[in-house]
Amino acid sequence: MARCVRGAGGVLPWLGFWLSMPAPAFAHATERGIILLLPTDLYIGGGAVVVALTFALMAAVPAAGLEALERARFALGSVPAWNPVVPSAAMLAVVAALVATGYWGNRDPLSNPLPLMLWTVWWVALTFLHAILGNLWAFLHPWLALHRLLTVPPFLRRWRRAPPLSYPRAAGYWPAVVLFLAFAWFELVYPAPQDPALLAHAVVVYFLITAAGALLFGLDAWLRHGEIFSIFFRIVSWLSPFGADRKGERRTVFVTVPGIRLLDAGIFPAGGAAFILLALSSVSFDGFSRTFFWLDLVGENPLEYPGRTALVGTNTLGLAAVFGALVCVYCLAVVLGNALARSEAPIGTQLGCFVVAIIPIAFGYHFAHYLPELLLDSQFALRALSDPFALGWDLIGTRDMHVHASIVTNRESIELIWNLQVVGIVAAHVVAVAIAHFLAIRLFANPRAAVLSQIPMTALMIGYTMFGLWLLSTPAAG
Amino acid sequence: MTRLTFRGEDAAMTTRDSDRKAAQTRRRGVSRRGLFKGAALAGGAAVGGLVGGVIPSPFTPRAASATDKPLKLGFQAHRTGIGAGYGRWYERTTKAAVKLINETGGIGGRPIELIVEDDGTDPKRGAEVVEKFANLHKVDFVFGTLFSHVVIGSAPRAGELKMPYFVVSETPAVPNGQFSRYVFQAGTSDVRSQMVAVAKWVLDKFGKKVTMIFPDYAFGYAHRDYFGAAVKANGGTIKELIPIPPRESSFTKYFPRVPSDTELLYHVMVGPGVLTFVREMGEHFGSNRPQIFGFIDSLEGVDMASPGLEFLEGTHFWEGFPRYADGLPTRAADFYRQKVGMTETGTYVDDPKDTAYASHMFGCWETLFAIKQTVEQSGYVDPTAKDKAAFIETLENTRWFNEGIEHPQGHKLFRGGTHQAHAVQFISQVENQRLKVVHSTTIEDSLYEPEYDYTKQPL
Repeated sequence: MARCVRGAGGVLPWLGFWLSMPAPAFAHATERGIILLLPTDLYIGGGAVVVALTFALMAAVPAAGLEALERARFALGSVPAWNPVVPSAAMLAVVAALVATGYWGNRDPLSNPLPLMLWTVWWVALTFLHAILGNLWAFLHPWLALHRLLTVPPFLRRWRRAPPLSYPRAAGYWPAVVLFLAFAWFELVYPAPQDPALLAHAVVVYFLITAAGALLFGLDAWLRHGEIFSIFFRIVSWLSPFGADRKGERRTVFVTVPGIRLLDAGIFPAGGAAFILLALSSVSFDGFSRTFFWLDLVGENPLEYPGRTALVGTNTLGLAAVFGALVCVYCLAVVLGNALARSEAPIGTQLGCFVVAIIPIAFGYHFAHYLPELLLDSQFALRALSDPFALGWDLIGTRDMHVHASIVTNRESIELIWNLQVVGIVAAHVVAVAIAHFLAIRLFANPRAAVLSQIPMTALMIGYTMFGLWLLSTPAAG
Repeated sequence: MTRLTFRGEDAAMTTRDSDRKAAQTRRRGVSRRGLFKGAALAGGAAVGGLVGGVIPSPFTPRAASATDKPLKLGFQAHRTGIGAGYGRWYERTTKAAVKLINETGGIGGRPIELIVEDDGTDPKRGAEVVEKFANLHKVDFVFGTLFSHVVIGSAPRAGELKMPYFVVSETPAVPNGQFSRYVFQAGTSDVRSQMVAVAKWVLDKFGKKVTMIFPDYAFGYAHRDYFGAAVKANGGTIKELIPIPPRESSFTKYFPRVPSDTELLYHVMVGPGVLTFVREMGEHFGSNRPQIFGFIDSLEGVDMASPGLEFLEGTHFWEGFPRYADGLPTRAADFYRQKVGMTETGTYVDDPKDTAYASHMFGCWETLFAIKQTVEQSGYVDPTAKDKAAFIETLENTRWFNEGIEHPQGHKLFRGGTHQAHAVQFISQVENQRLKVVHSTTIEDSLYEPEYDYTKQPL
């Protein structure tokens, strides 16, 4: 073993010494280790077959059946209107309290409520709830209360209803795309997104950006085009079987086929399509960047993960590359489909139309990727809420609650989680194939053209199913 | 110094006894006689009395410190990143030790204020965390780093900031002299001493024709070099060295390279491929296999009944602290298990499927008590240059940390020159999917010629 002799000086001896250092077992033996023992190739192949069969089934079902499916909607009742400022103000207060814990609470990210509530409860669990229950964020977001608060001073009051600038139509969803890129970079590439104080800074910065956008362009315009999470949660909520129609002062709640409301999404402009593709590519990259394949590709030893700081440059390029690759593959699938269908529909319209089918896949990846984190870190979150400022409080009686870490380390639960992940990924692609087919039927009058147009898109979805299952089963660091 | 005893027990060894013994041992140097005598003296502290909690001994110098203000300890934890599994158990162990110390009078009468910062198992963030501890939190000491590359990224900054820094790793970088006078490894032994300690028994027992399978990078090279040297030193021969590329996820093509006259197969694979490695090793060798010896690092925190591990039945492992209670049936070890919530089978008391990182985490407990002992003996009060110097010199002059509540793994011989603790090591056999200790080394077995003397560095 090469040894560094003290006093030899220079970088090389130091480097040599570092390289000669032993370390404890890096990537851990369980979790992926147990999945590696499963017949994952069969799962991957089976998932691909299911998606392919879905396409075949869709091609065989008559259009009338699909229309019936679209019309299936059952009213559950109506609820009276409420003052939307109240839940918004409550959320604003909660966020303010969490930011305070970020600055003045425990320094440990698994004991401080801010990172746990933001990354686990809000970004993961709330997204799951949107796919089940519908657009909760539309009622819960803090922006309405923030906007009201900012427009209280007399010199800003007139901006509440008449903002100084009208939102430029050409900007479309691009501000949200830029902000989502920044958000994804902070979450996936930045070295310390869980550091409570740094995260509190980030939240404050995002609030300032949103406040500026809402003041200058009006709240509705900014929430529709610039505020990442209003857009993200809205598109995820289209997967939910629940929806609401406003009738006067009341809202009628209905239940329908899960995912069918995606068909009402309309045609996205280029920025909107980019936003959806970014949502999928960012979560894909998070999984991909931990694989041995990627680490080997970028010249890192996967058993000696060098830490996020050392990979900031590499992973920044990787995130951009995966986004770019997905955009290219998606465009290629649509263009090829257009060629096969010999359609006269503008290609821009088709790109903005079929991107809706990517939404279930983005959610499926979100679900599968974050499920283990949700199961573990939600327990830490519950514990942290009892003593948010590390003062020895026990507000909700969970301060000394034991976190069952074995939920992500023991064989039975690992296998259960893996099976849930597989179901999530495959089901998402099945829904995506079905939605794409429905959209094609609408877009192309000729049923044969509709089927032909979807062959490349189905190939893309089969490939992405296999990619998703491979991401969850291949050796990975951490 | 404050010494914790089991309730109802007379202080079996007083401060004076301890200091006298340490002084005697220092004068003698390291000799088998001295080691055994020291161990026997200290061993008295761990026997007799009733387990039922701890009380401060009558010798607790409650007024030893000039202040009652908390002593700030910075815990640099792998809370996120690839070390998060270790981090969970390091945190549990640390909190249990801090709770115990605070309940029994603190350190020199001062409570510990524990500040946890996450380094993300990231070397560069590790250095930033050290700076935060020094400049923002203004702690007295920092401890807790485990992964070697994070230690190597962090410890130099601690030296620059003159912050006493206790790693709880197994890195030989500390005794090799890579760091500064401010960096210590007082609660756990280094990997070289572990290999030196177990080599003789393993070779005598299993045969001297050795083939080594190891991951093809620094971690594996250290095992190859240190154990390889120990094999030669004990009259053995290395029949074959089989490095495995880190990206590999199937290992079947490597096993045919194991020479047929191999008597001992040494393996130290790590990462998600370990279970596959063991299963494929079993499929290759079947019942006609050489003796097999590995380091528990491969399976730390892993249930021995995990799928794929059936083939390990009858093979042997190094352990730093026995996972199963019958491997170290002392009252101090039992007491430590109870306090950190580790059951007799090495799992968490509230979560029987959560396997402990037993061979590593005791180092946090013992490090905290080493700090406590040194603060109390040195009269350390504030992070001034004078008090730090007294603290460091006192620690460097400490010869023994005695087995007991403070050091449940066993006696530690501390070498002031290398800043490294040496301890007994355990060899366990897998029996009915459990680890059963079949041999405990002596501390002397773990010693090697020191390579560096930190005391020659200026403070």
